[in-house]
Amino acid sequence: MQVKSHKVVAIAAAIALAVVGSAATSSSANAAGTSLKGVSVIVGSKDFTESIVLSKIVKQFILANGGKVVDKTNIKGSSTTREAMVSGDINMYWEYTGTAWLVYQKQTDVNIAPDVLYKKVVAGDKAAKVTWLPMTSFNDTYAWAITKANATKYGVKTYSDLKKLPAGSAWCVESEFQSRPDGWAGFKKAYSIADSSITTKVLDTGAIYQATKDGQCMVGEVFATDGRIGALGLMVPQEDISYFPPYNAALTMTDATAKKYPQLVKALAPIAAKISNATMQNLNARVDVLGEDADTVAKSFLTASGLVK
Amino acid sequence: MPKALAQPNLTAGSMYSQSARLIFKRHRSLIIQPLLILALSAALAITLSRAHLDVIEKVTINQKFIFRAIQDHLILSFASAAVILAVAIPAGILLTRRRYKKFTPIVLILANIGQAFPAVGVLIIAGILFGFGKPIAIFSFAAFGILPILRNTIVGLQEIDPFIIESALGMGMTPKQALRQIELPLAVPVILAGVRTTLILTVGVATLGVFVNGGGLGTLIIPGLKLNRELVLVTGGILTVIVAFTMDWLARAAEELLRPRGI
Repeated sequence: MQVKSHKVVAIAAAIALAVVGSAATSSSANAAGTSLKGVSVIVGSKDFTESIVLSKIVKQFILANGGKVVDKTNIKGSSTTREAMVSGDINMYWEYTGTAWLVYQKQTDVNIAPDVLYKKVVAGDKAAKVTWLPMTSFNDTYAWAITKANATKYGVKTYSDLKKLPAGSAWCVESEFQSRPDGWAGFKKAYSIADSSITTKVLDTGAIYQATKDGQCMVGEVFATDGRIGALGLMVPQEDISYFPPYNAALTMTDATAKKYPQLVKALAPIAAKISNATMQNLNARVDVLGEDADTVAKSFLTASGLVK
Repeated sequence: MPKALAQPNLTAGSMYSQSARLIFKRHRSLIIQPLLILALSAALAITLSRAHLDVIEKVTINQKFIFRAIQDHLILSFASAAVILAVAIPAGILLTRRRYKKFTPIVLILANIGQAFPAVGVLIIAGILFGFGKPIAIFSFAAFGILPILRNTIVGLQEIDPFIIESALGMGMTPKQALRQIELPLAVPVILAGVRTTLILTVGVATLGVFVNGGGLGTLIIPGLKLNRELVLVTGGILTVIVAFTMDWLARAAEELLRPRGI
């Protein structure tokens, strides 16, 4: 126990250092600002760590600047969360460009550059009266993970190399991925993977990480910014044939909220630029792997990145 | 006077029509239910054949995918129901025998715990420990659904008037004979009600098979939900209802056949 807890503390310290180190000088002043006094909003999120952490960052930012927030994070399912916002139960949450494009705007074309997709999604959401704030640089795309040991053993460096795996190797995907236009069937086609050469297993998305580590899955379908990839000793090979669309996150809110609080829109806009792929992975890992509280993680990120002084 | 009253019943034709009416009256719901199931299936088939499908819907709304899902779903529900029956009915009988009565509270607590477990959580942990696939799904569903039938078997046997069993023994029956000829037939209605509950329960729970590589109708429901494709979601839901209705009908037909007459 003693040894283990030391190890955990050491990892925590390393991650905390990485987050702090990437930011400029941080201030220790904790006095609440007043620039958002009078703002009172309901912040929601989807039901997975990344979405929750991103919304907690917004929540803590508003609180630190004197505004009021009702926390309605962790709503089950993307569509439900979007519905909750459109119908006014929540005022804002973080959405992904790729998801809005495919799922809400029901488009099917996937080969688009991140910034072009962002513009199209913003334009497409005008009809739904949804305002998009600037997007993050991180791309929470679908990715394939394999253990580092297997990657070395079979010489896997790119997605095309995954074909070098033994015949009948298990590929684990979740049911949603099976149905998506940017999903399983299209991937097999793009990389010319024959159904007869592999085994497909359909699992819950959260179970895939551990099952890949345990060897029940040779290849697992994961999310690129998930903290468990690093923590479980998995690696993501290079995408050598461009296939997945971009999934950059951006805070979305109803037009009514944006109009009511223009100062809030302006104040929240710089947050997205501070969250890189590595930062997001660190924040996710602190919650998923180290078990830290999402609010605490959000607060320390805001201080470390200089967004809250 | 009595002669005159009995008169109309003596003609062959009216005898026949009356017994037909009696059969219909007695089994009305047994006859109407399959008609409803057929109507529901037909309505679904017509809706699907006329629907204009987009790329996402086409992946799941096609004959091959749907038949595979129904087939997997039937395998999951029947297999787990079979495991439940094979475990719960003998266990229920044993637990009402004098020698094993003392274990009843403990076993009922275990069965309660089985049902109270968050099904998805148990499934995934079991999958990580023992390997993902149909077998682990079937045993997890069985653990989940064992309570109603176990409880009904115990209650059905306990509710029998002890004087009846005593008189059976007094007439010279061995305890085994009393169990087979008196106790079990009397408990059948309550046990079969438990079987029906179990079957419906397993059909519902089998939608979770999608989380552990078990297949089933969850492969329509979950992506339909997550990707906001109502047609896919509703198709999965209605098919589950159809399977559940069919199972319920089969179980009720079994009840009609197995229920002891005249006791």
